[in-house]
Amino acid sequence: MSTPGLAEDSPTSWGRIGKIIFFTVVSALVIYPVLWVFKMALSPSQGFDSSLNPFPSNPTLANFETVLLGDFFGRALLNSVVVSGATTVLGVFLACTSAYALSRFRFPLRTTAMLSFLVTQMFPGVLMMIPLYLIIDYLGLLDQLLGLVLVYSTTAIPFCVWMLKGYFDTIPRELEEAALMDGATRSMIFWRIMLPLSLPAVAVTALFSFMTAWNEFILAAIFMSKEENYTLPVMLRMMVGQFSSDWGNFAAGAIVVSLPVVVLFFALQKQLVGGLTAGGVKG
Amino acid sequence: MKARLFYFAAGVVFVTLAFLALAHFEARSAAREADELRVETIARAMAFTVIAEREREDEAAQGLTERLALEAGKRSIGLQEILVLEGTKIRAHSDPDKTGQRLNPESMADKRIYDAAQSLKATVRRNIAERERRPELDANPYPERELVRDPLKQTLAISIPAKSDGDMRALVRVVSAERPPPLTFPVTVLIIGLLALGLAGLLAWKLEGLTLHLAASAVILGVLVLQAQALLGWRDGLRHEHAAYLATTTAELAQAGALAAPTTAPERARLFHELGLYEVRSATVSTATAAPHLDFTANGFTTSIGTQAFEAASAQDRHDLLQVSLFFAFLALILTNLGLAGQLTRGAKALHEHRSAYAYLAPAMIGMMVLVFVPVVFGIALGFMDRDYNVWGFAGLRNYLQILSDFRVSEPTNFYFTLVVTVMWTFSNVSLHVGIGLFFALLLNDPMLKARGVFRVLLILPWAIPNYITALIWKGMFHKQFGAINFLLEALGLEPVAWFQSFWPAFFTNLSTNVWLGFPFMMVVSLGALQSIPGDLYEAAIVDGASRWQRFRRITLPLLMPALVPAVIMGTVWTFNMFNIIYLVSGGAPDGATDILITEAFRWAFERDRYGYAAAYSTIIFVILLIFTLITNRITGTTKGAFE
Repeated sequence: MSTPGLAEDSPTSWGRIGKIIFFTVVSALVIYPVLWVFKMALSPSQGFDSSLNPFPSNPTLANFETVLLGDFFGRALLNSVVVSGATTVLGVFLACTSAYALSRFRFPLRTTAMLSFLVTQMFPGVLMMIPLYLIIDYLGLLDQLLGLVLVYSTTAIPFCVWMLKGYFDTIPRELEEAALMDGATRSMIFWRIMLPLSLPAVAVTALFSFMTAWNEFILAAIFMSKEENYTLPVMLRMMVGQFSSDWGNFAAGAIVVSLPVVVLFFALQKQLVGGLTAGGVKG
Repeated sequence: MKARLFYFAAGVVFVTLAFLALAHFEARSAAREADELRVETIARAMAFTVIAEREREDEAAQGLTERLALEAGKRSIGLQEILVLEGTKIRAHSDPDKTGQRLNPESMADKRIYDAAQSLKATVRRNIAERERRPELDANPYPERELVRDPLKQTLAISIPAKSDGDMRALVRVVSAERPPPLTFPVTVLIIGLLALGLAGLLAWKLEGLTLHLAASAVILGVLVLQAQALLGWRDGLRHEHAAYLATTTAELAQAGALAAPTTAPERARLFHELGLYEVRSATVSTATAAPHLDFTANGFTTSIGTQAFEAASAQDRHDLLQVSLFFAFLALILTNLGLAGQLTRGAKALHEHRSAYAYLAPAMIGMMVLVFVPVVFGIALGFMDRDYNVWGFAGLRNYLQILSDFRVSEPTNFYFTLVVTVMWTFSNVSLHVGIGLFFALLLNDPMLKARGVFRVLLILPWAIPNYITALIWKGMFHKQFGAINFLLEALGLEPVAWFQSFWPAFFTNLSTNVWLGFPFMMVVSLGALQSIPGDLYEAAIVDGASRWQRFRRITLPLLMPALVPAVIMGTVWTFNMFNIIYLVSGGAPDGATDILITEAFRWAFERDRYGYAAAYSTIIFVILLIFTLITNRITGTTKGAFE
């Protein structure tokens, strides 16, 4: 077992060399599937390559070309960008306002409201699919991107509210009291003081809302019946369906789809982890 | 406190009862509508057959089919399509462009009609042998359209051979309109109910004592009656146009004398017998009253077509709704007098006092109300209902009993079997996540370790990739012939494994996928917690002569707990409901054995079409998780701080 803060042995001690070897092997194992996907994406064939070598023998960008220039992928990409973007904006706005209320005001039913946000995280999604389908149908939003945006932003709200509320709590009230003294209104305080000060938390909330929308495929598959309304996950799932297996195209698509989230994730992961553990809620 | 609890319970009972009563009412009228539509379609088909035959013999009836078909096409109500075919020539069609045309078997749209005509020939040939004509029923009249999966929305096509110039060479084909969706969500009811509560609250704020109770009760009663009227108006609106069309065609029918002509019962019986519709008991057209109507009995259902019938159905609905609303009003009256008004007074005052807080909370709450809470309540209510031959009905606890009292535990679809698999799945995943994550974190938590940042990034990568992509990749890697895992086994000189053909290998594929994508979270959480442990604690421990194990046991572990416990609880809930991995990797193979509760519930809903059962199933999952969270919360007090 290693203990921090004890620097009596040097960076080149046997223990450390052992650790480096261990982690090199483990990392190689962990990223092997990722390399495998890159290999499939860069290989000219659509099937599997029957060798364990994770590097492609004659790399080509043909698969990326096929996928990106394909009939529906561009459309699906656009749909996903629109849905995820709108979900992020709407979700962040809704979460910020209610988190502010929960953090700064004391009012009847406050605890109930917070608990209700928490409890919704335990509802199995399947329980809500049929009613959601009927409600979206009733609202005339079936097969429309707006329907997905509304559903995604509300499913992202509870986590975002808890995480933002935790962050708002750490901002000293004195700031607001001073602003109130100077004649600022509540909404000025909210827009000019709270939001700028909580930008890191807002960024995480945005990332979370974005990822919720970007990665969801069941509701998208149920709500959308026209091919031109498919989002990326539905599109990707179709590529390796029961009757087709364009693994090369799938791999290229998977990389295109994963890249933005992976980049965003690494940019914001420290805050994300902080938020996850601070809120103590499911994401 | 006690009183509050009582009001709360009473409120819940009230809302639940109201909802169930409405759902029951809705289900019943939907069932009736479905029956009506079916019988009506048969009646229409028969009527058109009779008219089509009369047309050739009776001067007065010339062009009647064409006119009626066009009328039906214009309104597109009651029937979707009407076709009278003679040979390959379309004599009448609800689409004016098609009337008078010949069938073109090359065209996609005509192909279907052509097929029907071919099928008619076969029917006629068969029926001639039997000296009868029988209608053909087709539940999927538009094969080129995507098949409607919901059996409640499926249409019904009836084709009846008809005589033309003495020969049986015409065909009358009608396609029923889509049946009305049975579970229309009574949003009006909800809105008006909320309005009633709001009004009562406002009133209660101004008044006191007996006046208050009476006034509040009166408001609630009034609004509930209005609510009933609104619901009724909505239904009436739906029916009105339908009825208007029916009345027109019925009048035409009566005028043509098609059905009215055979006045005696034996004659009518002979006519219907000739049509081969044995199930039809009677059909009478009455033109005596101002509203012509057609009474019709078939398949044991009686229906009445025409405005008079519409009036009768309306009156029936009004009567039922009045009863329902009186019942609610009575309940509301009792509740108000029990002190609900007092609660509302306080509520209204609080609402006014804290209006800015509620204003900030409102947008999110409204969204959550419509798209989270309502679906959940609706879903839970659905668990107490079931569909029998496409008709929703109240099932009480039947779904729950079916799920929980089935002890054939060796069946993969059995609840207890799935529960055991789920618990096994959750436990093995969470312990591996924590074990691996913590182990890596302890090794990585060494500032002197070279390339620490690189390893950290590489090891977090699985978490960053969308999990459905991970699942699809791993499914590919476990492919029997082309998967990387079997290549590895072969390279090591082992036999390749058919991963998805038996339970343990399939379980292992799910497990390894989920462990791969799940351990980084625990690792990052542990690493964060480890870094916040002050180093002097360890130095002091070393001075006191504590061994490495003692330092881990007494310092590291206790200080890790506050961060790790919530993460473990969260991880448990996540894994318990980890739909994507199971659904996409093993897909429940073999035979649903590796399904966990959540995927099983999904299958009941969307593959076995038992929504009510699936809803009850999901409610049980919810209760299990709720109990789990409450217990762990009580033990660890995880969320205590967060409420301050």
